Amino acid sequence: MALPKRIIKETERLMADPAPGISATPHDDNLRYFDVIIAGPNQSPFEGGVFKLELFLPEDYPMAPPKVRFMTKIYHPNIDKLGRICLDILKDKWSPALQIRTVLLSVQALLSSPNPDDPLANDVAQHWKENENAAIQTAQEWTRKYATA
Amino acid sequence: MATSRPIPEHLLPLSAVLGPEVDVATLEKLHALSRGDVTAAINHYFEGTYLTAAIPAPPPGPRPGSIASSPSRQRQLPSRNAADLTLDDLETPQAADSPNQKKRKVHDSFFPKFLGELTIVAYALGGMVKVKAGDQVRFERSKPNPQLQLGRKRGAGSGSASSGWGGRAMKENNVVRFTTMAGFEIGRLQVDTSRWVSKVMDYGLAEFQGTIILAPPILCTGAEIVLTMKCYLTAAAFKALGGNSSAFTGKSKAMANDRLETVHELDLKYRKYAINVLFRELALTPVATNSPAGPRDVNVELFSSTPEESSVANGDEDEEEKEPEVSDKELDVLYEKAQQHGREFEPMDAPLSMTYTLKPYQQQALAWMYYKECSQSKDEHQTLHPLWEEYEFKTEDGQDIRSDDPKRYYFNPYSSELSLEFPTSDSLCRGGILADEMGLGKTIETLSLVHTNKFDRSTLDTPEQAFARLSTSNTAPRRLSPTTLIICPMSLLSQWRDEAVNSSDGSLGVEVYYGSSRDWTDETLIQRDAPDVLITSYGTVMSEYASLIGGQDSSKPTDLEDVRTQNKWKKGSALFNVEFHRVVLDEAHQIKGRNTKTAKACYAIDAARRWVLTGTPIQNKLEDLFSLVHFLRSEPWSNFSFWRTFITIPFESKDKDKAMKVVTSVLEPLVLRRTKSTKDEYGRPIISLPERVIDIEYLEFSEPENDIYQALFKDGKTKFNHYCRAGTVLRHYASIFQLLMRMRQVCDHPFLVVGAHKDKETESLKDGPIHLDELMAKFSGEGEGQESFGASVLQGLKTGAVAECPVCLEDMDGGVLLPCMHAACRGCVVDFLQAQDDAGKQGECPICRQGPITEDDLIEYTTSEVKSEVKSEVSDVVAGNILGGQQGGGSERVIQIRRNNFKSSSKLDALMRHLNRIRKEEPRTKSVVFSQFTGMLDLAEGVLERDGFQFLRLDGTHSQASREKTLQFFKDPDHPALVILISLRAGGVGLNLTAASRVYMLDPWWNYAVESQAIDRVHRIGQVRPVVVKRFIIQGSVEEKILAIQGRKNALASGLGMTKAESQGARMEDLQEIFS
Repeated sequence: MALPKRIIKETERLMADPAPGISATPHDDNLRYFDVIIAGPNQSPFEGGVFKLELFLPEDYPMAPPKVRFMTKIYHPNIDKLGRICLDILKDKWSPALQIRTVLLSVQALLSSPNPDDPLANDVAQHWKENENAAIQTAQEWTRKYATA
Repeated sequence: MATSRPIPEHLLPLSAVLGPEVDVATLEKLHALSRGDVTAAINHYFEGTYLTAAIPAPPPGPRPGSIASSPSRQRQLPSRNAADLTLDDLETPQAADSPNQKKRKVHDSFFPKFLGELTIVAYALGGMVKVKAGDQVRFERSKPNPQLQLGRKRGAGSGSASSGWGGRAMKENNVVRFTTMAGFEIGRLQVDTSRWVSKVMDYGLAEFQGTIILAPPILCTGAEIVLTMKCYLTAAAFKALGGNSSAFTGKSKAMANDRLETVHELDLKYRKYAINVLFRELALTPVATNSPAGPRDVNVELFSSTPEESSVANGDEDEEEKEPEVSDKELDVLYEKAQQHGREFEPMDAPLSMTYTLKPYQQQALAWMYYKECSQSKDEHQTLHPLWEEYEFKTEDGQDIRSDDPKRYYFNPYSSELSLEFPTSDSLCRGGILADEMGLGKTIETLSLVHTNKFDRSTLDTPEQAFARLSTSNTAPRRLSPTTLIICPMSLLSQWRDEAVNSSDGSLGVEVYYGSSRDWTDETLIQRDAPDVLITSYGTVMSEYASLIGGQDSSKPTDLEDVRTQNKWKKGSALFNVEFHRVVLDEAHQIKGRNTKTAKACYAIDAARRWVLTGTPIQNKLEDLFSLVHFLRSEPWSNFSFWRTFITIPFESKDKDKAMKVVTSVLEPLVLRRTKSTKDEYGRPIISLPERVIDIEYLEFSEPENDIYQALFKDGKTKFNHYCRAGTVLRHYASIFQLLMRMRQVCDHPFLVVGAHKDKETESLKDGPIHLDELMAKFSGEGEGQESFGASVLQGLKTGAVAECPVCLEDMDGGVLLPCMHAACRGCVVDFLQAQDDAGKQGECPICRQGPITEDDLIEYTTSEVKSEVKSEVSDVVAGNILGGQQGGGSERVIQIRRNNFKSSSKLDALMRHLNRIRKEEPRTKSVVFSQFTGMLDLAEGVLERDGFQFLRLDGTHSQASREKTLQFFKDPDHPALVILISLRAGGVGLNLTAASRVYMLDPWWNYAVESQAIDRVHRIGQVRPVVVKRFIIQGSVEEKILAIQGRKNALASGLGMTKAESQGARMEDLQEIFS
């Protein structure tokens, strides 16, 4: 099936005018598959880290949300160890008016403000709730350990 | 033995009364005196008057009187010396179509004229007579005086003997005996010979003289005698067939309707038979024929062996429906000759008063038409009439030949007429059939003729003179009008007027005679300032004719003459009161039914020059052509019985080839036909139209459409199978067609069939556009923030900033506004709402998630540029609301907003896909959309409005004025309407739609010719761009099967001609295929 115009347009715009701290590059052999790199936001436990993600646009995109997953290990209450992300717009709050860019910006924002009240990784969330400073410290360690090139 | 001579049979009654002592000579004289009346003869005898009385001439002479038993027979069989006959004597007033019109004195003794001789074998009856070789014998009919009619000459005194032929049931008597010159019976002819000889003798066509060649010395019964028979044509044979001709003239209508064979017709048939066999037996061969069939094969009888049989065969002639159709291949053959035409004419330039430049082939047409109108009288080389054959008289030894005697004679084997005059094929018809294929410019060609061959107006009265004459004298006005009357279908009135006006440098007076603009009377039409061209419609002509004829029997054309004289001054009969300079029927196949009122009205128009324009002179029956020829008054073909005898009947029977050849010979001088593929003398096509591509686009049903279709199909199939099993398919034809119709409609749009939805649909259509200002007002009444956003969105629409759809990221065209005033493509929003619904969620705005919303809450809007100056014109023709504020530069942005609850269909989606693309890529390209269902056109209006198209529409409900206006708009390249919706039926004829170069056929018709004709409205002369045609077909539906049937042609086709038995088998097959 030919690639919908929308995907081509989004890709072009991502390349021409990337969002700060975010890059997304489609695979040559599959234009629905993107290699994504998100820089850890400043003043967050992930600052200085470079996180790799993968993003896939399913067949019924944009009616269905893209699938996004962290490839780089990250210590975050809303991201589990398989890299899966708990973000409402990636699930039932998806709208076709959203785009790759907005999704990735949301992910970036999620790094800035973890939400332990709606956890995916329960142990991390627990840690975050009980001792936020220690949790942040662990996150910083993980970032140094796994997310620095 | 009482007498020395046997008493001839016809004298027996007399002899029985007067007794044996009265000798034969006396009896003979008495018989002659009394003209066969026994009572009178007896009176003569007893009064003794016979002794002094002179026997009425011509005297029977030495011959036994049997042949001369009635005076009428005496005239028909004059002896060689009874030299008192000229052709003039015998001529009855001649019909115009009889070829031997000029009377010519032939020397008294010319008849009987030797024709030829043959040898026959006869057998003896036994008797006392001795004959030897060289003896002369005399032939006589054994039963005297069978009651015959020849022409109108019925023997007055023979009433009592009216036994013989009155009823055909009676076994007729063919016996021919021969006797010695003295009257003694020798024998009789064999049955084969006597069958025709008896007829020849009965009709007095010829006399025979026999000579015995071989005879046995003793004539026992049955002995063979070999004879030569010399045959002499009588003057009577050359007599014009009085009754015949009258049957062939004006009253033919009555004849045509009356299929019963009259006694007269039967006579003709026998005569025809007799004379044809005579010619065959004498082995006469024509020295010249002009028959397109080549020399006639004399061995082929024109009648199946005997007249009796043939009369039975023709007796049950059926109504004309039975007439077989002419196949395409046969049509090609017919037209072939007509296509050769015109090339031999030097192209002729139109006069300077004509502003158009003619193409070379049009110049040829002009030359041909001009020739047909003018040069016929000058035509020096006369050609032999195609039905006649030329023969040379043989000379008989010892006969004196006078130098002024005719050397040749002419024989018409079809009518059995003989003539000494050269029968020419020259017809008085000035005009013909211009049958160029559609698009070649028949209109222009005709107008060029109008320009070229004008009426000499100096012979006409000026209005002042007319007034003077009217007021001073009572003499009947001359009825000659300088006007060319053009009769065309209503829809073409304006086209003709425009073409006529545009073709002229202003010197041509053009007027329309239609509706209320009928202020021409017969008086003004014959004045000097009468228009050159008067255009009227078939309907007008028909209604004027009907009111003119009134209660009279319109089947009798002669009545018109009376009506004319009576109603000379009556207003409203102008068309029929003058003789036009020329009359032209456009789309003349309109009069193909010769019994329709329209056809009769057209026949009644008087004009010296008569033209017929049609792309299809023969639509499917040969008789289609007859009506045209009849209108042209091209004798003798314009006569129905003539036509029927020589064309229809042979075509119906085995003699198809002959009929086709005759038709070709009829067509050849009358018809000029070129097609788009006709080549000029250099082999180049005479006309090169831009390319035409016809694509079939296969579409698929959407799921709900398919459900509806399958339900209908199943229902139809069940019913059909039920009828099949019951063998009542044909009886339920109408209901099957109903089923088929509904299946076809579903292919277009389910709303066409599903009534409930339809109501809702039309309601919503009525709902119509929403006023933008109302919307703005509504939003300004709401919350502060909303107002500013909603207002800014609407303001954005007004200024024409094209927004990107947030979903597909493309420019929004045909976008929708959500209640929250967010906008997106209609399709994107609908898809999203559908997805939400599938997920079990309520609809919401994809942008702001405001909800819940449904499709019905969407508000459509479209924007398009419209030049402001045409706006006001548009509004009353084009549906749809146009509003919006002024934008600079004389152009304004029009925003149309309407509620979205319109359901499209696969067909309509495909149509809009094409139209939207075209609008984007080639914004000035115009398109024509055809459908046979006006309901479908209504629905198409809906989608066109939705997507912001301006459009025009043409269907049967439109008045002439609005049709005209519509076509004018469509022609105008600056008019904003790019699409015209036309019902297939209304748009079939004549329209010129060359402004468009895209054609969309929403549904297939049974007969592809109808579609093709519609396409040709666009792909015709004047078209400069390539034409792309899309035919939408739903895959796997009845439409696909219709395509297959179109390919086979025989079909249910031919426009639901449900009465033809012969095609029923084929139609059953079609139905079975459809419901398989």
